[in-house]
Formats: sequence, C-alpha cells, structure tokens
Amino acid sequence: MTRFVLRRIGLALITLFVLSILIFIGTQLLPGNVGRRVLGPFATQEAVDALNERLGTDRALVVQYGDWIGSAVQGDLGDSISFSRPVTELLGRALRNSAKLALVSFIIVVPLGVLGGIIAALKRGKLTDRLITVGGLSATVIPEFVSGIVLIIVFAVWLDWFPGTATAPPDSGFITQLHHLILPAIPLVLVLFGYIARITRAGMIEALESDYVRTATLKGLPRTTIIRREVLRNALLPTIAVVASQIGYLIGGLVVVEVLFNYQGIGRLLFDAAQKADFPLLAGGVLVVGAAFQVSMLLADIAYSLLNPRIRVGGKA
Amino acid sequence: MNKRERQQVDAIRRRSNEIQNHVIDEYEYGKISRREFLRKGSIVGLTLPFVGVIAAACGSGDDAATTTTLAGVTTTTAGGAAATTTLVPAGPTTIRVGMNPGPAVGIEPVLINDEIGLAAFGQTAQYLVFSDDELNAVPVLAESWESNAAGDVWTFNIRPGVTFHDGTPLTAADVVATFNGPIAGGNAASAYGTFSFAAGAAVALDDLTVEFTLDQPSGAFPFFVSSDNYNAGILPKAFWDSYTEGSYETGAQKFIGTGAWINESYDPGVFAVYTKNPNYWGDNSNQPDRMEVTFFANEAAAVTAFQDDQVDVIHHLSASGGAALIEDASNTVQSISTAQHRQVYFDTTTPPFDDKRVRQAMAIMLNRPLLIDGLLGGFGSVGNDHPIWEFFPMYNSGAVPQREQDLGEAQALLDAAGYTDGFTASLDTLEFSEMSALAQLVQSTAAQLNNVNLTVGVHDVGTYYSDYWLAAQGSMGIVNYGHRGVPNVYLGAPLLSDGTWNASHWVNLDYDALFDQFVTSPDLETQRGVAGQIQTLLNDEVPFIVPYYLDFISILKPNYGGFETTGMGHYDAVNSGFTG
Repeated sequence: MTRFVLRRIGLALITLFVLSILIFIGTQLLPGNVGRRVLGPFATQEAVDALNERLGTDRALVVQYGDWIGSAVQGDLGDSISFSRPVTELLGRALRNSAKLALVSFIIVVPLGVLGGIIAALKRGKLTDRLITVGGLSATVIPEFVSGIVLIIVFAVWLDWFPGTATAPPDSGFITQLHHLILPAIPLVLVLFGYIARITRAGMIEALESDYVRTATLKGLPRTTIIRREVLRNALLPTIAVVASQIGYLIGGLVVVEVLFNYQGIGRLLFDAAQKADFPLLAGGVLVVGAAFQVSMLLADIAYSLLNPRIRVGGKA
Repeated sequence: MNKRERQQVDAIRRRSNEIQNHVIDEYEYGKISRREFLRKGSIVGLTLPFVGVIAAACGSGDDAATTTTLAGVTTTTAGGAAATTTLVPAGPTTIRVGMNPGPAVGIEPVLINDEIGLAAFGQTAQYLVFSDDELNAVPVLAESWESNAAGDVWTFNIRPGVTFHDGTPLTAADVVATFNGPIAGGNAASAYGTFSFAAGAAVALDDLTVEFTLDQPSGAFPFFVSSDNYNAGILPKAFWDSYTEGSYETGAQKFIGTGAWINESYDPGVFAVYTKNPNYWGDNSNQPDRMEVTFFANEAAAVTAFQDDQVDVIHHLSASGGAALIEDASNTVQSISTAQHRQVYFDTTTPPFDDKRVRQAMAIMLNRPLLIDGLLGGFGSVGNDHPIWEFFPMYNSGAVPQREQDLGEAQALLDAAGYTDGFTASLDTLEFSEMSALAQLVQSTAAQLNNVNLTVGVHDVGTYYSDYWLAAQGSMGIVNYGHRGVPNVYLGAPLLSDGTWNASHWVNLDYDALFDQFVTSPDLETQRGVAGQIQTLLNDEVPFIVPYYLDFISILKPNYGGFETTGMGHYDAVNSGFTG
C-alpha cells in the first residue's frame, strides 16, 4: 500500500507539473496586455509599460515560468495582480467556501443517490425503478444555470423559503450560513443524483445476481440481512469510487453555480482571474483544483483497495 | 436690487479677484442663469454665503431653492424655501447596498479605474472638492479656493478641524503628498495632462493652504482636485510615505480617510462593512450606524438579491438588466442624467471612413430616440455627435440642429462619396452593458443602405482595449466614456491631433486651436461661443457618432431613501435611512 500511495503521489506531481506548463502557456495565449488590463484603458502607455516591467510580464516566457514555478514549489504562488494580495490568501478563502458548498451538496446527494440506487435495484423493472433512473438522468442533463434560476425564482423570490444568494451576511452563524447554502447545493444534487443512483443500482444488481448471494438466499438468510451483509459492501464499491472522483468537480468546477448565487468559491475566483488575465491567481487556482482532483482520485483508489481485498496492491484477483 | 443688497454685493466684489468679479458681472447682467452662476461661482471659488447673497440680490427667482446635505455639509441655494431630502433614522440602523460587479483592481487609490472601486474608495476617503450630480463644485476638504488673474495658479484653503480616522489632523502636507505622490503615475496621469498640472507643482503655503501651479491656465481646475478625478482622494502623508501597492486594503493604515464611514471589514470582491465615524468632522447625526456592501458578480445576482430583500438599494443597474425592478411600481427608481456616453468612432485615415461624407451617412442613418427607448428603456438623452452634453453650462444650444434619421440622405451621401455599391467594414466593441446590442443595431441599420455590411466583433474588456480600441484600420468601434463634471477630458485626448485616446486617428488643426481656446476661456460666455464652434465642427466632421447619453439608475426599496448618487458612480448614504 505504501508503495502504491507513493507511486500515485509521484504521478500526481508529474501531472501537476504538466498542468502548470499548460496553464502558463494558456494564459500567455489570452489576448490583451496584463498592464493595460489592470490599469484600464485610460492609463498612459508609460504607466502600463512601468507596470508590466514591475510585474515582469515583459520578460521571456521561459524566464517568467521559471520564476513562478520556483516560488510555487516553495509554497509562494505570488500576488494577485488584480487584488494586490497573496494568491494563497485568496485561494485559501475561496477553497474554504467551495469546501462548505461541496460538503452540503455531498451530505444531501450521497445518501439520496445511494438510497435511490438501492431502491431502484430492488424494484428493478418496476415503475419505481423507472422513475428513479429516468428522473435522475433527466435531472443530470439540466444545466445548472437553468435549474439554479428556476430555484431562485421559486424558492427565493416567490416562496421566500431560502435566500437567493449563497453568501451569508458578515459574521453570520452556522445555521444562517447553512441556510444560504441549501439552494445553491440543489443544482449540484440534481447533476450528481442520477449518476450516483445509476452506479449504485448497477452495483446492486450485479451483487444481487452473484453466486454468493444466491447461496445465502438458499441457506435461508433474511433478505434484509443478505442485502446488509453481503450485497451492500460489494455493490457500493464502484459508488465510492464515483463519489470520491466527484470531489474535485465539487471543489473547482462550480463556476456557474457560484456566479449565479454570488458565491466566492474557487470556481468564481478562477472565472474572475481569467477575465482579468490575472495569471498568478489563475495559475495558482488551477493548480489547487488540479491537486484537489488528484487527491480525490487517490482517496477513491485507496478506499476502493481497502474495501476490496481482491485488488489490493500486490494481491491477486 | 435695493441699497442694502447693493452694499452687500459691492463688499463681496471688493473681496473677490478679477475672475470672480467677471462671473458676478455675467450673472448681474443676465448673461448666465442663476443655476449657471451657482455652478460657475463654485468653480471660481466664490464661497457659498457670497453666492447666496449675490443670487438673492441679483436673481429673478427663476430657480427653486434646494438644500442638499453632502458629507455633513449642508448647502442651500439662495431664494425661496429650502426643501431638505434627509431622513431621520429611528434607532440604530443598518443599510445594505448592492453593487455590481466588484472593484476591478481592488480599492487601490493609485490604480482605481472603475466605477465600483471609485464608489468604494469614496466611502472612507474624501476629496478637496465634490462634483455633484448638478455639476457643482461643492467644497468638502477644501473650504474655499481661488485663482490668480491668469488662472494658472490656484490656491485652496483646507478646512480646519478635519481629522483622519486615526485622529491625525488633515493638513496641507497631506494634500501635497497626495498630488505630488504615486497617484501621478497611475490612472490619474491623464487627468494631470488634461488640466496641465505637473506632479510636484503642489506646494503647502502653510498648514492649511495649498497652491497648485499649472503649465497653462485652466478655468475648470477645481474639477482636477474633485471627485471627478478617481484617484484624488486625500490620504495622509504618512500613508504615501510608506505606500506600496495594495497597502490601502491591507497596510497599517488600511482604509484610512476623513470620511463619515470607517471600514470594519473587507473581503475582496465579496463584501465590505462600514461603521459610522463617531469623530466625523461634519454633521453625521442622521447617519446610519452600519453599512453592509455586497459586491455581486453579475447584475442578475444583484437583482435577485434585491427581490429577495437581501439589499436595500442597488447602487447602479442598467435599464435592461434591471427591467423587472424598474417596472415594479413599488420600488423607487432613481435616475439622474449624466454625461456618460458611447462613441461610435471611425478610422478617419483609411477608406471608406477617410471621407467625412461616409461618416456623416453613418451618423444620419441612426434613429437615436429609438435607440434610447430600445436599449436604455428611455433612460437617456439624445446625442448630436459631439461630447458637449446639453447640461454642461457651456453647451451652445443654438450651434447645430439635432441630427435626425434620414436614410435617403445617408444613401445620397454615400453615392456622392463614390460608395453607391456599398462597402464592408468591421465594427468592434466590448462586452459591457448595452454596447454589443448597440453594435448590432448599428449593423442592422447600416444594412438598410445599399450593400453596407458591417461585421460586428464583441470582445472582453481587456482584449478590446488592448487590441482594438486604438488600432482601428478602415474599421469602426464603439467605446464608452464615463461621466465628467466638465467636458475637458472628452475634448482633449480623444480628439486632439496628438491625443493619446484618439481612436479615430483624426487630425484637425482647427480643432486643436479651438480646444486651446476652450480650456483657456476667461468666462462662460466666451467658452460657450467656442463650444458652439467645436460642436459645429465635430457634428460636420463626425470623427465619432455620439448617439446618446445614459442616465445613472439606482433602485431603492420603497421604505428607503436619502441615497445620493452622481453620474461618476459616487454615492452618499450618510443621510439615508428608512421611513415607517
């Protein structure tokens, strides 16, 4: 296991290194001039040139990248050009916000999705199964900006059950913050519910049709005991992997929801950074999101191997 | 006027300089209206009590009196009964302001170049002079000012008893440090050039007197040190001595200023919280105790928050984006006319737009009232292809008739220019407010002419200003100019032959000469005459089309009032509050 983890960490670092090069090249391809974007259209060219020189954006790309990656490996992601603050400070705050929203979404969607998949499998072929699978699939394809707007209009404006923005007033307590996060979590629940439910359903069906479950049934064990002891553990293996792999998406992929609900998470921060050609913030943010994806995949693999002795590193199927 | 009034006016005249007396003459002999006198008098440094006495003695009662309270300073124009707009809050109050979007570069005094950053900066910092929504130069940190006879040396008397939030007194040294320091190299640099002021030319004559020496005379210099100049908020010398980029938000003297609001917390791009300054130098007895400002990523989010009662006011919204709120009769729509306008410019050096008949054709093809109704929801006023807004006091109403749509004449102009078979050109603009829609309407209107095909390109702000704005080649573009208290900025860099913002690449020595005359005009009547010539020349040459001017729209909850705004985007909530 240790070798496995170390090997995965090594691969993750290589991936992040390649990602850093790609994002650096990508930001350099962004049209426009950094100094002009910061100072605005009416600053003098002398001021723009002076700012570009101070920021080092007039140097060769290789030199710029070398400076940046050299600092980044030491934990210094530089200062945001548009906010004039350390990138780590801005990312830290945004990451905490994204984590809160991700957690609320997870707490809602995982039990719902797993339960839905279990019920669909147990009622396979019946109306309940159809409702869950088709309904879940339909919800998945609804764009977040559509579901988000509908939710805001219905639940925030008409019914006034929830706030229409995800950012709670300053100094708000836990319950108030949670109240603000319910509505923006729902579009994410809609996106993920169908996926989790279908994976769980598939796992359940495969497990229910296995020989050991047939043996347990023939031995006279109660169905609920069979499901609890024999089926779930095997059926949920792929579900765990899928859920863990979505952590990265929930951390860094929520641009639409965060902009719609005015929430300063990583997604919205990266969106702003891209618009402003704020390279340090954009590159730092992409690396953080990339790291989040790597960590989530690693956790998924570790969890999978811990739960399934057949695929433990060094073991045989 | 009666004998006593004459004695009072004469006493004032004896204390006034040549330029101030000239303005008094203009009003006494009916050459300018009371409103123009109040404004012009404020610019040349006549104190408000003097202005009031003269207006009462010489006036005909043609303007109603109003009282405004700004920064704790109550000003009442002369004549008639005063009508106040202040609200008295009942108990501790918190007001919630929505702004969209967040500050573009943070709240950074040297780099501020956007409306939101300006508005946020103006809550804690103050200016020597405030340019209000009626284009008056209102004394704030400067109690009074005057110029020499030539108009190239301006002396400002700093208001005594003003302290910064940390208790240190405001002195002339702080003013000198502000104007001679880093802001000269930032976004204020253009303003420095427009008003012929060189960094380093501000001198403290004593603790409460500052003298500015200009490279050439300027009758509108007070606007350089006013809120019209984004970056001219007065900050302590100690702040400037240790200034580094970002230090206004995070340094030892973060958010310092003389304003009625003290910043309690700030989350970049998310929210800002302010509390009432208990030691404010002005009268803030009616000020709410707390102000929570939320920055919204987009207008739709701000509108939703308003509908959801998350905010009491949206500082600024567009007619199209805020239609749902504007059409709700229960809300209070507050709109003020501004000089903000769009310029549809041409590359005047390259065919087809090197021929002014083609430019005139493009100008005359537009239905401006329809554009205002469709794009602005009616919240605007027509433009006439020059940037001298009709509410500027020097606007010459008789100079040139309003251009109106005439597709037949437009085609005739193209025919005369040799473009009977039409032409193809690009029209580039930035993704901002209604500008992309304006570009599409210009394109569709041009299509009504014979084979005139415009290819519209809409770009993000950074890309547009970097790659398109000053780089037009045989093409057109649309750019935005924000509100100003005087038109000097519009007439300078965008139009002078060597102007740094001359997107049209238009070279006209006659215009350059007129501009010099305009900025050095000794009195309003002369300036108005020159303005008329400028209006005529620009309307004829059409280096750019000015289709309309935009109103500044705010939306308030029905029980909230007293929220004052200006065309620049400044807002004053010191005397705002709730009724009922």
